[in-house]
Amino acid sequence: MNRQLNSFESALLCELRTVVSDRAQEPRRASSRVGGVVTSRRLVLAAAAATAVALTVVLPGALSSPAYAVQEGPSGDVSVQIDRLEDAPRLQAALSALGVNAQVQYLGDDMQCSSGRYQPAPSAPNSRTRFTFGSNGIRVELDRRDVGDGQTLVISASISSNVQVSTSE
Amino acid sequence: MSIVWDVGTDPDLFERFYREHLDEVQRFVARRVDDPHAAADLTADIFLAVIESAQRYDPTVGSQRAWLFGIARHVVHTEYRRRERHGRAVYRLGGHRVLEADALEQAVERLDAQAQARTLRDQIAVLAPRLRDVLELVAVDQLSVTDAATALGISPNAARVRLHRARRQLGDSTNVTTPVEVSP
Repeated sequence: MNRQLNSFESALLCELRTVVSDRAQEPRRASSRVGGVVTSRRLVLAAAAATAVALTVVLPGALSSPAYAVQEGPSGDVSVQIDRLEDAPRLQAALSALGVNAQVQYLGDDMQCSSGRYQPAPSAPNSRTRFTFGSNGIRVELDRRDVGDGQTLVISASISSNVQVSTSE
Repeated sequence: MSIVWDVGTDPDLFERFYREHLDEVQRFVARRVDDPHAAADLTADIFLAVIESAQRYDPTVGSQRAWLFGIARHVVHTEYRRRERHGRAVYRLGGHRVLEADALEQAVERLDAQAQARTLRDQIAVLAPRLRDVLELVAVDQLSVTDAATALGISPNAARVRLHRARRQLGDSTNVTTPVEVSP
């Protein structure tokens, strides 16, 4: 199937890739589990736990380490690693310095952007943009083509299951 | 070598599987529910079950499609049983997935396109489950008898017998006119 995924299909793919990545990092769990169906609600709870872990590793002694890292690859794609939900304005500025028009916002617990605030933009064909999050934080691999002229990378996260990454027009 | 074995642990292989089967899974769900948000939840559940079950896929037992339909059927029936136990009022306590306008529009179109299949499915609901399940997969989902047998975990011969009995019991009482492939 080569058609463009709609917003639900893209978001679901993103979530499920994260589930598969997490399983790949825990081979014993993956191979020893038998039977049972993980429901989407359990997926959301798992996501919440993963995000919480990412945040609870923030110990006083670790506060001197950067909350995020931004790196530009040879192809122009941009990698964002978020270890703590802090310094959103600086992360936004760092992305801007690389020519990526971005909005980064860390919301209160269990809050999420109101629907309709952004108009989702379609991904480029065979987009390389990937979004994962787990015990090692939040990671965004951004395909430059996905943030064209007049488009904005939106990173919105809160201490709950609600981590959203999208491009908007 | 089938990619199914590794879709539960390799994100790229999973994405390939997802893109290859997404339309088919969504049509399967649309033949069974008429609510776009419930359909979205079930689609997510089916792919999660695929991830959980991938390492148990045995290509010698049946086709990938039959295996996938078997999982999809199990997920949907599990949801039905939950709804029967708890009632529709508490269905999916905590809320459905929120569909944005583009996804909602496509989901509604898909549901509309499968309305006839849902009617057909309702018509054969009078049958005993073991007969109904075979006829449903063959007449509603257009699986071959062999694939339907695989999806249900029964032999092709048993599936043929049940299919014959199902159609005989229905007689002229329904409009089950969908051509039925009878594989050797």
